[in-house]
Amino acid sequence: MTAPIQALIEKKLSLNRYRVDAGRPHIKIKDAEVCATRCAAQQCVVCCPAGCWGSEARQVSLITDGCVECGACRIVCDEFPNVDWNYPRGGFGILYKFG
Amino acid sequence: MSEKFDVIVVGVGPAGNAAAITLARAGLAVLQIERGEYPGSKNVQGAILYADALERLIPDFRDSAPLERYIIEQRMWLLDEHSYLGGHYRSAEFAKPPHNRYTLIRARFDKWFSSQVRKAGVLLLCETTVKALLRDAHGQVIGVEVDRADGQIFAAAVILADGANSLVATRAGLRAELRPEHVALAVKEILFLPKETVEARFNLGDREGAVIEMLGSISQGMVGTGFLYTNKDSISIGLGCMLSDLRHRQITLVELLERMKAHPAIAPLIAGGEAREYAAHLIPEGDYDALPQLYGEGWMLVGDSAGFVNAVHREGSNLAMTSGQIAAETLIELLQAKRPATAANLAAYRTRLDARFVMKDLKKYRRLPARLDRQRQCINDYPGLLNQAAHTLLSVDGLTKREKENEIFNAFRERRSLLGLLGDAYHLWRAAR
Repeated sequence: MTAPIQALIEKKLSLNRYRVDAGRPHIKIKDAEVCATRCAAQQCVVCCPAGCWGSEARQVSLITDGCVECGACRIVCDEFPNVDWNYPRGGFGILYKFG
Repeated sequence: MSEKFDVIVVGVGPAGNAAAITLARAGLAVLQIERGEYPGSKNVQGAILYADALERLIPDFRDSAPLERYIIEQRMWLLDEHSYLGGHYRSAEFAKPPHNRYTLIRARFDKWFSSQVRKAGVLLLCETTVKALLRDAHGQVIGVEVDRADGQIFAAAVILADGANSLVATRAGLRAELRPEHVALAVKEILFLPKETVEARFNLGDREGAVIEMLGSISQGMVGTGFLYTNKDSISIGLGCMLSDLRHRQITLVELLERMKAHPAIAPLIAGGEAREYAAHLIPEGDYDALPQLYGEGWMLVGDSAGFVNAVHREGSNLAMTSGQIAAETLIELLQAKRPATAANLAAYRTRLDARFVMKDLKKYRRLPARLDRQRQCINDYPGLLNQAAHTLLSVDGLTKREKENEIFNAFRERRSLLGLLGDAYHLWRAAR
């Protein structure tokens, strides 16, 4: 994802309210090697509406702080199911004011 | 919590609330579990409320529910890059009470709905995520495990109203994982404007609302739609595309949303709007044949977790409420007759759904998603061609009308053969019939 788009998403996410469960990400990459060496498409990066997923030199990164808990990354990752996807602990994560 | 409930309802969306309030009014002991900090904090919708489904649950909801505007005008636009061609329906009949459809802000509405549910006697446990279903030795669901200390809670039956992802049902093996071709991913923003500005821009009186549904260039060739809904002092704007299309593209939904907002027909309507929230959510849009098993030994799926969305008519919250209510009524009959919530006994839930609009409407359009997928020209070509045709007809430039007709006809023929055009019309008519 290009820097301007990343900046655009971050600006949008800054409007949202979150209660981040620091140090306990609710989504994890099961095996980073699979993303880097076997997954050609890396569709998580483009499909995530919150820009949580990044890819640099084929290494996929994930920061879940801005996650809106939609589930898209888990569903598109169906070739080598490599996303360990959970909801945040009760009370944590996105807290919509309007929804 | 060692107490045993008659029924546990997972989720406080429209489906869960409809189920819970119906159960509690029949005197059953109901526990409702919500992972968010407050009801509505995890829920996203466009949003339009269809009064009928709620009226059947709370007849006087209009007296206290936080409704934004009742809809008097529906616009349907086919968009090209620079233009739109559309149909508008506006009626003074829609302005007469009781109003049929309302725009909503879901977090506010869900808080209100939940307060009604609690008044009926439901115990609500927020900030609690259900991790798994508990089963006995025979596989009967007997409760849930939650992410709290002492996290086992028991009940005679569990209603899963946990939304589009329905992680609980999937993990328990009650349904298959969602597939990209069966879900749309939608993003939306809420833009605040003075109430008078909303009313002036859309030609609305106090509390009157207009909604726009959009198809065409905004989805960049993907199967998808856009929407713009007027709230009291804000506008909800967004778009969604099938995840199976989005995954193969190098464009993000955020970019599509920004392009849509900059469209010359849309930009003036939202100019000056102050964005206060950005949301994204999955919408189950698999066809009728993609519906999961809806009930089993001690469990039922309702609302989005069951895939109850009529994508063609943009309906979901009404299917959610009605399915929640029917699930509850089925359980009430069983439990009051001291019969167990076995799969055989819960089959009545499906039978009742089949008899109502929920299943009948989904069945009606069962062929449409696959048809649209095969006939991309309906999304890729026709909106542009129709806009071009309107442009040709409405530009007065010395050409004869016959020449204009030929120009339009040839433009269509260049993209589609005559047989192709007729075939598209026929197939779409068949699929939507």
